[in-house]
Amino acid sequence: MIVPVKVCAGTSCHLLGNQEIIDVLENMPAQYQNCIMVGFTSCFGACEQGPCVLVSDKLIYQATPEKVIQAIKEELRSKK
Amino acid sequence: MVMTLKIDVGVASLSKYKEEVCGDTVEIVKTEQSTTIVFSDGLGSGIKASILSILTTKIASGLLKRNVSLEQVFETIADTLPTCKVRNLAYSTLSILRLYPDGRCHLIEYDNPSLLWIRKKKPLSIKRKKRQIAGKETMEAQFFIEPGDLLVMISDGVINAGVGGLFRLGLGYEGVINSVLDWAIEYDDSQPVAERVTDVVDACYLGRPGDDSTSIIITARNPRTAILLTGPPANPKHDQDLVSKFLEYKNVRRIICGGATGNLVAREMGREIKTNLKYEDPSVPPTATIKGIDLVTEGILTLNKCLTKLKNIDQDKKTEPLFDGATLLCQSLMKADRIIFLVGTAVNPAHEEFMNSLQLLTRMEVIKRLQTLLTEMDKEVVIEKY
Repeated sequence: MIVPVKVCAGTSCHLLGNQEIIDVLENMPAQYQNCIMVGFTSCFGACEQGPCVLVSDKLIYQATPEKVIQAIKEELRSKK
Repeated sequence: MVMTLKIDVGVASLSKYKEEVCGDTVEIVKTEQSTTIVFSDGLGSGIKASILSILTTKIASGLLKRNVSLEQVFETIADTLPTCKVRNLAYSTLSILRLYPDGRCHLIEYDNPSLLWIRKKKPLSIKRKKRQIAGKETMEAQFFIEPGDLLVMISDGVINAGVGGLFRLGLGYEGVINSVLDWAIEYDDSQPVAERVTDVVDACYLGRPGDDSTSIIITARNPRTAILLTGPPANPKHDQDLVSKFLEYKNVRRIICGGATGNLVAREMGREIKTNLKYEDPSVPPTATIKGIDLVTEGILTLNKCLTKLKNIDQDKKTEPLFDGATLLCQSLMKADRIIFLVGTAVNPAHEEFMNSLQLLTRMEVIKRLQTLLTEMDKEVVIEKY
């Protein structure tokens, strides 16, 4: 099962630290690497609450690496 | 004048083996009325040849800038420049080619290899007439070029490349034409073609050029227009009108700068927007693609970075070989002769705080500064606000 993870690459999300999330996603432990598909997306229209990350169909506002990893874990658990 | 042709000129030179300077000099004089190329090959090689060819082209270009006619320029140079007493030869050759926006060309050649004219991959002959100017026997021609035509001006070092070595009689006109055609298919700019031709010449000389060699590639083309849409309109009711306006132009390069703007266009066009998977430059957000749009980038950061890149562009007007949004935008603007900026004036409140703290210029301010820079580069710039 693959969980799609889309990181907003808009101006605000870029400046609010989306790169930190990207770095973490790109360096996830091997067991997760095969379960996620990381991509970028253009503005979600929630610039004041960035960075925004969409994990499957759940939009995370003011995302941090921890929040994103948590959401991925939950998604994987729910789909098992 | 009906047709407005744009002239691209690419120049590349090789110095004779073990010489530090090239004895061939090229000057390009661009005015609103015409583009004139002055090319001189100093007798021999090295510093003497270089000084004489520079002297010749500088006198010519100086006079041409003051709207002196080609005949008078030629006469002045022929009267001024010394002749070698022993060999009874002028110390430098001279070719002057003036191209007008309607396609008319006026050529005067003295002692240089003949100008080559290529249309649809076939060489055309130029009808030349002998003409005495200031006691010198020159060749003169008047002809009309069309969009897509290629003109090739070369020094004798190119024609004779490889003589007595790789080739019995050198590269010759046919060899030059074949090289130009090979490379012209690959590039749509004159400069890389000129550089590849001198690469061929260098190879013919086995890396030890026997003479200074210069190739000048002149291409005639229709003006290129780019239309750049950035920012949503202040009133969302105008979204559709703005996108229609953006799409109504034909034969233009379409550029979008802005995530929300990209989403807006994709929505109005009923197409998908796909953001690319790679950060080419960590300071510039990735580009995106929408079918039918040539370039889609992020907005404020990319525009600010593009302005910096454009300010620092080198004399050869070459950008670094990078693929981030700002470099691609810079390249697109450089390639265009006419740029239409459609600027939406909606303000994103989330951006305001960053703008001040990061000393970023606002969308309108960047566009105005781009307009100033691009106008200085002889481009026509139009700004429309929405």
